[in-house]
Amino acid sequence: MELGKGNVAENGDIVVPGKGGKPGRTYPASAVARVETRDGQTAWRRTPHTPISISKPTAQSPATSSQESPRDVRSDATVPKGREAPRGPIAPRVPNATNTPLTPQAADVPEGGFATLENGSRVAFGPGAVSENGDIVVPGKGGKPGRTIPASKIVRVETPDGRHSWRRPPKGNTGGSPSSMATIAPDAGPIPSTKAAKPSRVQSRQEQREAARARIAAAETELRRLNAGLSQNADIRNNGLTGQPPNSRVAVDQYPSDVAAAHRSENPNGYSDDNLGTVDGGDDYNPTKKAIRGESEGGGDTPKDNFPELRSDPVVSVPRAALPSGSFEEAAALQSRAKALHDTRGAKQGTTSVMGVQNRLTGERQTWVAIDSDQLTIPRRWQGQLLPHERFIGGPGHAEQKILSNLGDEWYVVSGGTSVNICKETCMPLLQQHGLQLGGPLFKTSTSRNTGYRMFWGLK
Amino acid sequence: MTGISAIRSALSSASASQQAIFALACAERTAIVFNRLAAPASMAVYKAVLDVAWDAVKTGTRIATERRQSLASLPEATIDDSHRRKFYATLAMGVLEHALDVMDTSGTQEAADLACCQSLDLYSCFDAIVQGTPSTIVDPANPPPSGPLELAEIAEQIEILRALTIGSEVGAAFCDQLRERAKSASQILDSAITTLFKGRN
Repeated sequence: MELGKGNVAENGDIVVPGKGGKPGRTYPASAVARVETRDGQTAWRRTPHTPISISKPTAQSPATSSQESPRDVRSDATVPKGREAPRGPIAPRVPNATNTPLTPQAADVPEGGFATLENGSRVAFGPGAVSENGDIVVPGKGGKPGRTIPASKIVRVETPDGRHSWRRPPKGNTGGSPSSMATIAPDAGPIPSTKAAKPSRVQSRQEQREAARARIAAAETELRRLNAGLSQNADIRNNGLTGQPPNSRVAVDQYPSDVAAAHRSENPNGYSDDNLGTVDGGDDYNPTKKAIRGESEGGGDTPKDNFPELRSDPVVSVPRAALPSGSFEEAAALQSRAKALHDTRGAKQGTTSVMGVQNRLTGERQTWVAIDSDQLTIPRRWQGQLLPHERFIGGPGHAEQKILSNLGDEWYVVSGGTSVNICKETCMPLLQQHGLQLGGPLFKTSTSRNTGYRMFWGLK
Repeated sequence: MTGISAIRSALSSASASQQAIFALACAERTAIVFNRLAAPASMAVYKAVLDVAWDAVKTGTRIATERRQSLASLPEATIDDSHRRKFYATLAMGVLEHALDVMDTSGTQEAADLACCQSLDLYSCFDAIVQGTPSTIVDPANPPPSGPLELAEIAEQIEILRALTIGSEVGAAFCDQLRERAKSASQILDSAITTLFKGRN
């Protein structure tokens, strides 16, 4: 939910005043998992020990005081000028700049990859596109002329899996050592101080990734907290992602034939989103949608330019430190499977999601498949098509959502992919809460409600 | 032989025109979802395309491209969020599009099978919504039984195929009869939707 000035009490509780005749609510600090400013640069997040900062990079020593509640982080309008956001013990780090070549190196991106330009735009390029002087030559297509992106405009180049990257060294570095791609490493040097300057989008993304990795490393020492994570997962299973008990809707075994005729006379033009009611008197028959509405109360929409890489640091509600991490390759294979199954279904719209899951106790691997229709039966076109290790997840919700809601205590997601772009509002945050990072190729999206991603995998 | 197997077997031996009528009947039985959940302006377009399609199968003519384009231009054609009610109208539209594919393409049996399966899936979807069952892990080796709505749709598809294949000739009057039967059969789905969505009005 969105906070305004004064919503965070001194003890860290979140106080939301009532409006429209509705009573206000108080959320105890113990129930708050994360608080961030509107620009997403500064966050307080509940961790095993301390909050961390993903804010402006600094060369100063990190703060050592522990923090139990989100009282020091308010909306961006309420963070006093001159007051730095709290810094946690985990400082963002980047590769050692002195070993970084001045221009992208062709040998390091033999399969092509992505280039981030000074203006923040991201360009995909194919094999052999990086010239000797570091310029990137993008061939024309569809009658459009090609273009050359000079190396001086390129701030970053990365491989398709995002694991290896070259980043333009800071000004003043005339190194140019033969060292090639700078692999992101937690033991690399600190980021140069730019205390007063807001970090660029590229920097911010990189720092968040670094912070996420460092945070996960810290979680390795907290393995005994695994049960806490499991119990949180159990809450999701017991209460559902909707926050409503199951079977809250009326079960109807026989459908009254006279209701339809009576209703048609009342609504000759049919229904619309505005005039539909529910059997239980609420304003929506779909409990998952209710939950989403509840989350959105008083909150703003996801910013249109909020690409997931800006938020790709996972909120590790379930510590994954002891679990195998996923991989881009596995996610790509599962995304292909999702696409193939979706095409088989012949659906013009909708989503098919496929996730590789593993049992925490037995180590058994399965592949869970879901679509975004409510049906509990396996789609008719898939009869006899699913493999022995594949399971179908039926029921309400988005495809990814219903898979995650069935993990319970026993299962966790290793990697996964979807037939279409992952939505920002529902599925992206859920995937991140399960320690999964969105990545892989960026697909075109026709709506600001979706990310450009169709793959995700677990971090180690 | 299970229901879907019987349907597929009958479809494989049906003529192209019989497959087209079968697929259109599927679209007619799911049109009620579109009529209940889509925007009123879209409903008029949808009904017009259905009318043209029935006329086309009766006269053996092709459907104008503009008709298909009018369908594709509806806002319901691009809804991909299952949290929105209109998403189910989009699913229903898929059945009609597959029925139109049967009449437009040479791969009629594949398109007819898609219309059949998507119609069954849509009925099954409303079974789940009505029953309010939470999401569940389904082992393909031990699938859950079909709900009452899907069972009714299976029975209706079998009955339509039986009627199509035992008759010696499929004339315009017979098509009209089948269309009326499909409309009547869709009342069970209409009842379910009405039960689910009754409320403020």
